[in-house]
Amino acid sequence: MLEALDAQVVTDLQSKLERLSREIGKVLVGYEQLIEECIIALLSGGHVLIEGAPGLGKTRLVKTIGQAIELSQSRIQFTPDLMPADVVGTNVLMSDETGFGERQIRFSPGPIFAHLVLADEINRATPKTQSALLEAMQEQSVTVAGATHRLEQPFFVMATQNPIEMEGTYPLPEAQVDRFFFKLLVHPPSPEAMLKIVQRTTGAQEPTVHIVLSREELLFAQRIVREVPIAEHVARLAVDLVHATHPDSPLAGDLVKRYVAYGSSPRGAQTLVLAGKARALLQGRFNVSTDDIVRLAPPALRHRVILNFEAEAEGVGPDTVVQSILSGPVASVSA
Amino acid sequence: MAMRTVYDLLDRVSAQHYRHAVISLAGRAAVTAAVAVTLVRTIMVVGWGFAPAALLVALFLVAFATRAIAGYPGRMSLIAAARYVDRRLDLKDRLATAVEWEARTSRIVPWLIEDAKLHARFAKAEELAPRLWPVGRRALWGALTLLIAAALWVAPLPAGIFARPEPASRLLVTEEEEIEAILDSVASLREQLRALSGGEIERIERDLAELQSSLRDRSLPKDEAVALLRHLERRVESVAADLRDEFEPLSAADLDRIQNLAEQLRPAEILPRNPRGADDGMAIPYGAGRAGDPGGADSEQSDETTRADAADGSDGTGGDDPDASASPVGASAGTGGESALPIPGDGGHGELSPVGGDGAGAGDGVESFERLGGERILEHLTGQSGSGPLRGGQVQTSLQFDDAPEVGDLPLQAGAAPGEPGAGVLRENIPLAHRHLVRRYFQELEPEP
Repeated sequence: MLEALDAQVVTDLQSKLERLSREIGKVLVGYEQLIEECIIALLSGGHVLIEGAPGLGKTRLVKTIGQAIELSQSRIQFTPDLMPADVVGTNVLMSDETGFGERQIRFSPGPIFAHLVLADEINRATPKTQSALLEAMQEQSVTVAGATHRLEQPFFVMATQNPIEMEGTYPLPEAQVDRFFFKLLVHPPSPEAMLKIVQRTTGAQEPTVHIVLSREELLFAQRIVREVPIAEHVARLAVDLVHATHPDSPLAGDLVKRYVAYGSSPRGAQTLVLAGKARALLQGRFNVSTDDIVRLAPPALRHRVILNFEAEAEGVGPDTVVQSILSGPVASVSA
Repeated sequence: MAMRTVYDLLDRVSAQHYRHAVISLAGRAAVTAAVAVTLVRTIMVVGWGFAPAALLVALFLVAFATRAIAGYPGRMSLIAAARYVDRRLDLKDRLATAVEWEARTSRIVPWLIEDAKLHARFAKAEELAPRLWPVGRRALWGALTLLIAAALWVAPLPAGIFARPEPASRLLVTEEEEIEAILDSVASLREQLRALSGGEIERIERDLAELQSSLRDRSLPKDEAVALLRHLERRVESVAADLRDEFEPLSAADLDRIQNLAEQLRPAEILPRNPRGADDGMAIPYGAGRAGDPGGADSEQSDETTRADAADGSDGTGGDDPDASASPVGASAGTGGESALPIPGDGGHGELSPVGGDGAGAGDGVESFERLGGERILEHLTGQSGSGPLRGGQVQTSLQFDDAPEVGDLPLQAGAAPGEPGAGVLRENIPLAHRHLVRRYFQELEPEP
């Protein structure tokens, strides 16, 4: 049996995670759920696809997280003429400072070489450039001219896309969307939240974000998350929920059978369990509960459920399908 | 054991849950058995009219045992008890995860176990007892089911839809008793009739006698006998009411009228020429008429008599005598007392009235006769009972009573059935509602004896 963690370490970690939420919340008002889901993805080592209209604070969120965790961060504004080399970096011929010495070909890392990467409007880049980013996300490394360069951990990509301007965009293929841990939706803030935003951001002093978590502590937290126990019936609930997204599954409901073309991949179940562990730790528990799985099902499954043409024609979204699964017999029986 | 606190709690919860589950199962099994018994009893009562208690008790026991065995809960496992406690106390699966992960290696598990023990320490097994009775929709359905079952026991049900008919012997006994009761009623009614008199009463009495005899020889169906008895009772009541209305004191005019009638009816000379005439004469009614009666050859009635003879296809009125057409005898089906009558002593050459006829609308005929040298003089009084006109008359005949046939041997009425008037009706397939009317019709056609 492994030696138990020191009580103080665990307690400190839980309190720091709690402070992290509060610190980010000082800047981003009214997005508590979004902040929690981002931290869960960060603790789980996953990447996040954020979908929302312009001006809702997506870039601000990434910057604030970077400030609170003491991580390096970069931003890539995706455009149609953006090339893969612009993302991952390229080899350049370098000379010494005098300019007369020996010249060398050296790798110049792209903006992807950061702990936190904001890929803004990812759907505006060409598929080739998108693939370069997504491959780096999956492999945690980039290969240029036959040389592989590891990305420093933690590596966390937050890609955004604008759902209202689809002209001239290149929607991400389903296979690449599946590589995102969560797909988060940014909704307009409520009037009360908006009032606070106005008051905080238009004054003489803007709220300052303090560093709450170091890079090492974040990596430690990521390791601890994977050790959080999960009971078999809770893990089975995650598996059943994923199975229920398949139209040919016996667990599928009427809505799934009618509107879903393809259900979630096994990555969906992995995401649910891992995110559940992170959420349990974030909430001061040492085990995953069925509530964690149910709560995290929408961000984990909404981009993994591919709807058919009939669903599009009738305006049925993936969230409707996922909610129908959660309100069906699968969730209630397993819970 | 690191998790003794948790296991103690789970053991208590498991035992308590088992007890409650057994009690609840017993209740559910009883309800199920009661519903099953109710259904079977209802089907048997409705279908066959009976439901043996022993069978129902046996069915209850079998249904109870089956339901109890099928739903026997067994004892909860530790994991199941932990999940139950987690669910009841909203412990976010702490206990279940701790029980499941106790033996596994993880740096987090010790903290998980400590966390589970902390929560188990404050949990009370008594507060975690499951409900004995269902709630919500299940309770509503259960109550409704029991209510319907109780109603099926209390409510009157149609019985014996598929039951075989009762044995013939039992039915016969019952019918015999009912026929005896009807006979008693008939006898009682006849007893009452003795205090009354009159033509209608006599007819009723005759009908009652016929009914009585028909019942005794079982030639009349019971239901028809009951209907006839009711009808006769109504007739008796009607006649009794009429009699009460008619009993009024005679006025002076009535007495004068009766005196005049007596003067008219006084015979001029009636001498007994035949020493045995009285007996024979009284035995033969006028209406029976006599074949070969020489008198009344010029009577207007002759045509009518001829027609009547032709209709019944017999020679009862005319016979072989060429003068038979003058006989008044065959006019029994004539017009009652409406004819003009010859005065007494004119040799019988008058228009004869069918004195004894009991045709439609005929009143009471009063006749008498005496023999006089092979002839006879008939005195008769016809008219309507009550306020109708009365006529008197005298007919002299030359009927040879020695050769006169018996009344019952004569074909009296065209188309009449032999035997009692209307007796043939009882043998015909005539609807019960019309049967009495048909018989009454034939009785009305029958001349008064």
